Amino acid sequence: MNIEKLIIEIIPPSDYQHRNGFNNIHIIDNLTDKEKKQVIGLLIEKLLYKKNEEIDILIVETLAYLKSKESLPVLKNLLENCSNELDKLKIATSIFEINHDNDMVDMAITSLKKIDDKNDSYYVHKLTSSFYYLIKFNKPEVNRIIHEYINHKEYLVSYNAKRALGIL
Amino acid sequence: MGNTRAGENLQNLIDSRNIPWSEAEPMWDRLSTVWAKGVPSGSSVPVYLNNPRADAVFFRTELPILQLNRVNLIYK
Repeated sequence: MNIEKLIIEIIPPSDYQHRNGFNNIHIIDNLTDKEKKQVIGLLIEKLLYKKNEEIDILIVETLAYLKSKESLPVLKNLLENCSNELDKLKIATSIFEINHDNDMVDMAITSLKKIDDKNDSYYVHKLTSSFYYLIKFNKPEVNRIIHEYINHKEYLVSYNAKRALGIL
Repeated sequence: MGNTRAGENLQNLIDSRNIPWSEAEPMWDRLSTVWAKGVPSGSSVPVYLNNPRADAVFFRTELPILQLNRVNLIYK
């Protein structure tokens, strides 16, 4: 398959129509090793030439799913320069998925605490999204933190904490 | 949601300000929440899903609210 076409399938335009619920795992799983290498190279390139505020987290997540160790320097650089706490949490999770660096656990927890800010009008939605990344650490200490939200006064927060933990 | 007037207005806002998806997604979450809360109890809503992520907006916001309000979901 043409690699540019493949990249567009894996990383579609970042709007609601293309990204709401979008999942590229079924595409990645069907790639040959050679295609995976090509995809990794192009995705890393895409991250290199973007400003930090334009970083596409789907690219980061895809590199994590591909367990791309080559992408780690770029991902760590993104993490250092990222100012959006939800993006930080997602990048930290992705780095952990590749190298199991326990420092990423602390970084993600720190970001979660900052995301849990009632002054942010989107905090409920950011929290609900965070749970599905935190659960990827598969660490008791992280799961305990998610568990603290299962009786949260906001229904969506409590519902998603339970759902992420698999206790719904 | 993207085809509703509110959804089109939100997409126009996102486009005009060049808001990245990571910041736009919570905006869609909130719009979906408002929409789901407005669906009358007992009514039916068609649901179209295509291999969605576990953390899709539908699963995190619309589904729990619609279920709580006893809306009938008709999976297509």
